[in-house]
Amino acid sequence: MQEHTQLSDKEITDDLLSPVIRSPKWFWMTIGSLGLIMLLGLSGYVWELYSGLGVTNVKRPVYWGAYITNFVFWIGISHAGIMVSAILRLTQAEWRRSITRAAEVLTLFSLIAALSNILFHVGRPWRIYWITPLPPVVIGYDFARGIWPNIRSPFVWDPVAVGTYLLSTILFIYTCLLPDIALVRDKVKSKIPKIIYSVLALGFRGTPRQWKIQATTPILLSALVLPIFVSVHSIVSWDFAVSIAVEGWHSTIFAPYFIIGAIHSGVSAVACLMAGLLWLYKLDKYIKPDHFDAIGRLLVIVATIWLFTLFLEWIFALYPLEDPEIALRNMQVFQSPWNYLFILFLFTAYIIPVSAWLFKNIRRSAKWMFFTTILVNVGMWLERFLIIIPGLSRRTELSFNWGSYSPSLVEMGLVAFTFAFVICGILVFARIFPIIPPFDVKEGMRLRHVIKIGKRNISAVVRE
Amino acid sequence: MANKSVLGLFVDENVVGDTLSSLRKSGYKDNELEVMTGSPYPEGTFGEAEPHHKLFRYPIFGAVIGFTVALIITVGTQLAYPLVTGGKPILSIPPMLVIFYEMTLLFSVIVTILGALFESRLPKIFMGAYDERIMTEGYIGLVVTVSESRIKKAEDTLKKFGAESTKRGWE
Amino acid sequence: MKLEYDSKTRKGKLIYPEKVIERSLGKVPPSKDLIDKHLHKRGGMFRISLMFTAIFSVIGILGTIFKIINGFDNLSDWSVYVTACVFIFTTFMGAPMLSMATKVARGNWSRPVSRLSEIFCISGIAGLLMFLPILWVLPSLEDGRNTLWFYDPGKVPAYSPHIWTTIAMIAFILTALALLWINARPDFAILRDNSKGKNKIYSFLSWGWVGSTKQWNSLRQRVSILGIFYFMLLITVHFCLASDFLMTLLPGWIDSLYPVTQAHNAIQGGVAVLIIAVFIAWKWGGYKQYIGLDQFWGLGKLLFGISLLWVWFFISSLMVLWYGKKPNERDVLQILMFGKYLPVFLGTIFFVFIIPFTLLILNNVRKSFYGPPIIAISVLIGNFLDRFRHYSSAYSLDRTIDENTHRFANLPEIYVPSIVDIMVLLGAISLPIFLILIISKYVPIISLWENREYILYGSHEKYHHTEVLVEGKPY
Repeated sequence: MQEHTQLSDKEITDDLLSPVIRSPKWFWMTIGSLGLIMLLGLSGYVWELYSGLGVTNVKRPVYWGAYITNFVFWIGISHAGIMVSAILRLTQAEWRRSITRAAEVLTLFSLIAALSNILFHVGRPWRIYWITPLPPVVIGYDFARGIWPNIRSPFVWDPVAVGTYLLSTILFIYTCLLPDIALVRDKVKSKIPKIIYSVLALGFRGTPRQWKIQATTPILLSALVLPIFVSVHSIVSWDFAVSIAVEGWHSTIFAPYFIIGAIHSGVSAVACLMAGLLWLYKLDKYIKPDHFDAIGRLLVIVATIWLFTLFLEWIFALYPLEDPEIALRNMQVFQSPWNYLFILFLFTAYIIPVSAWLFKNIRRSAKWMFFTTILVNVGMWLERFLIIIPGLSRRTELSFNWGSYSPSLVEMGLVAFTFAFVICGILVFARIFPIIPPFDVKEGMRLRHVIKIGKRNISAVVRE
Repeated sequence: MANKSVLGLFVDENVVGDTLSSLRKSGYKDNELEVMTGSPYPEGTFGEAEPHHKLFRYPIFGAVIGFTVALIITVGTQLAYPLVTGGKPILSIPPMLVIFYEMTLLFSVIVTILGALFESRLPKIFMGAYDERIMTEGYIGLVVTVSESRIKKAEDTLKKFGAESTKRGWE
Repeated sequence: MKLEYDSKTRKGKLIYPEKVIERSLGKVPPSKDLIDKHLHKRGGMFRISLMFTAIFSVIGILGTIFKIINGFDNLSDWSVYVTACVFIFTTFMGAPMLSMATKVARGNWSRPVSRLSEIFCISGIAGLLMFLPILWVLPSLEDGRNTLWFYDPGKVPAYSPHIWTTIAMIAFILTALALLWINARPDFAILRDNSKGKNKIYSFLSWGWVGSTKQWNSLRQRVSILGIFYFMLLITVHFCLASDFLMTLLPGWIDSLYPVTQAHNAIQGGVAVLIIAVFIAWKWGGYKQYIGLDQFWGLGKLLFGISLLWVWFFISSLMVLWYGKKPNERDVLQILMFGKYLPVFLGTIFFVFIIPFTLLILNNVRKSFYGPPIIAISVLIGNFLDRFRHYSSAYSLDRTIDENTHRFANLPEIYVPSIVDIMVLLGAISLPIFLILIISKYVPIISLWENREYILYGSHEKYHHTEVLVEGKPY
């Protein structure tokens, strides 16, 4: 990371706390617009609760539609946030400082958006608590039949895994946020916010002991969260892979395929978020072209590995030369509308972005990274759609049971709701807490050295 | 006699280090002296005593709790109402491994966080001598916490070594 | 922190100046100690090792000749032979990956061990030599063997998988050798200029290296491109071996993850065998000054992470194959895991996961000189057992299908290696080691130029009242 602007503590505090201290001009308009989209989506959900799941286009044989596609999509996005943060912390990469919190916050809201899709998808959400094995003295236990959750079902593994991930993410973010809450506590002048931040800061003062724990805890948590991250999307992939009835689903590669796809779409989302924050909050002193370059190079590798797993999935699906599987793949590649979606998916998820990222100028440009990463996520949403829907539409042996599916207005509204929710959540978070950790950036400034070799200056960093 | 604290605000790390050394030579113990900074410094920058913690024990302790909880949830609930599903045994190892794995990690994370707060000595209701400029402007605080009879001498020592300002704590 | 600040008016700012450290290699020659260590005559232990590995390699070659004489028709006779050959590719040939990966990640801790990992590429020659007879063992497509390549009679040559796998393997080995040579060229130049008597060899090997800026730039570019190719070819070779040379011989086994699993196992085995090599260099090679706790710690952490990944790959396959209870998948699980090969399977899990996980999770074990090497031995044993349960069961499988149940009529017993198999096994382990020992006489096992380069980028500096390590990353 060669580009650098040396700043004072006060400048860093002022720059990174200004969105917290006072709202930027565009803030309330944006929140209002996003709120409107969310309201429209939620009104669709109210309609769905009143009328039943028939308002979606989910019907025999396609029982899983846009909600499940969206669920898997947001789980995927949520992965890269913590993964990027955890891996960069474990490897002590200096360029992590500006992006870890934004990535973690993206994870948090993506997970909540993912879980909301399950709420939209189930027919009787008032019974969703049955998934928890709470003892008979508390609600959760089906008193009438005395049945506990079936731990052999992937639909019980899912909430356990996603719940674990969500709780771990919240705790991770909060622990790493403590010094910055203390900073905001000391910066704000108004009485009520000062009290709230003081309570949240728990009396953090910045003693060497507290800083040592602050340095050790994220590394420990990263080492614990990475196995969780690997397991969550593996478990979500097993929702599909363990089923033997649906063509195109029963493949052992699904766990790595979904995870690498999640990393692909998630890291793209992180890059997109970084570009957005750079423009909205004018953070050009903190988010440099070098950051985008590093992420772009990572994305090229991840995308290529993802393409290889896609190739493996296809080639091993065709290997047994079973007619139903071949028929499904023929449908996906040659029959309308699946063929158009398939080509669009390949171009948006890999061909266009990766071809662009091979050029350094594009990798270093926030604008190009913003648009190419949005393309990736369009493609990855389509990828999940193409995994779920075509297989289901031909699920049964009896061809008169074959059907098709396209999302209804209610479903599209709720998908839009999730996107608006995540963006709104991140913006609100950035309004309440600093989205770039000031203490981390200050530490980076302090630890920076320069090694002068002849006429070349090389940036160096202190390693304790 | 109740302890009182006094804070000296400094700008230069070396001055803080020198002040700390001479306070030690004057007879102040390590547990009476504390440095506060708005962002982390490499350990030992001010010559302060190395903080010892047992944070690495908490994840293992949490993992044991999580494993036990998982055992109760999987084995206990399934034996409480045995219902064969999908032709699989009541206690099937692969699905149980999933629940064991998640619960172990979940409790490991929770106990680690609780341990981190405990080892950081948080929450701290009374902050003692503290100045907001430590966090907001990058000043370095050196706090001496001693009995009331010695607090004046401590404050004078801090001023003598070039503290920008001194402040008594609200205990 | 500097004060550009007026305390009376409280105006100004407190700023951290960038500390500038000046560095130069101008008066720092290449390490004479390392040059002398490389050039001096090898001691008794080296010669004894060379002798024993040579003897066992000859025994292995004899064993191979006996097998060839017995013919290629009986697949089960070749079970252990194929296991041994693939074992070379899933251990020795995985080691160079560490050098490539740490160069991409720009880790400085691996500088003392990167050359040692690159040297392992020579074992590919042993692997290739062992692989050639297997081309006659594996049935062609005309024999009805199903394959990924959608065999259409007349359109695809019957021996296409054999040809493609051989080409992939040769490309893999050549890429690894090219990487070794490119990385070692500066060292050959140093030895050319500093050795007496071996100048001609080093002149030839250095190929006109003078250390111009152009040469250094092209070294870096070639290493990154070839490193990527090496990784891709590693995946390709294991894909070909795992699919055509294994999976197709076990009808009903459709596991899209297994080629990737085997590639991962190769990386795990590579790290394990590298740890042992680094330990030998540290303990008996006289390199204690250059190889320290940091290297064992870094390798130990890698081994720990990779062993965790092993279990993820394993559970991913198991969950999908176990859950649906399809008859063909149940048979596959019986053959590979829960049937007669259960002891081998349990041994695999124990050596390749339980031991590394439970021991390497302890910081004291991970950050020690003896911990990682002992655990690496365990991983290698587990790696071998893993290959054994896959390849031996697939090659010794009776493919008769019961007409009524449409499943295998007989599930395989554990294949018991014969004396000739033991001979082959000894040869498979010894020949790569023999080749590595030979090549270490010409290629310095610790990279002279990389360690000299680190003088520019890493140093201990005083930081107020403490001392810190300052590391620069120029690229």
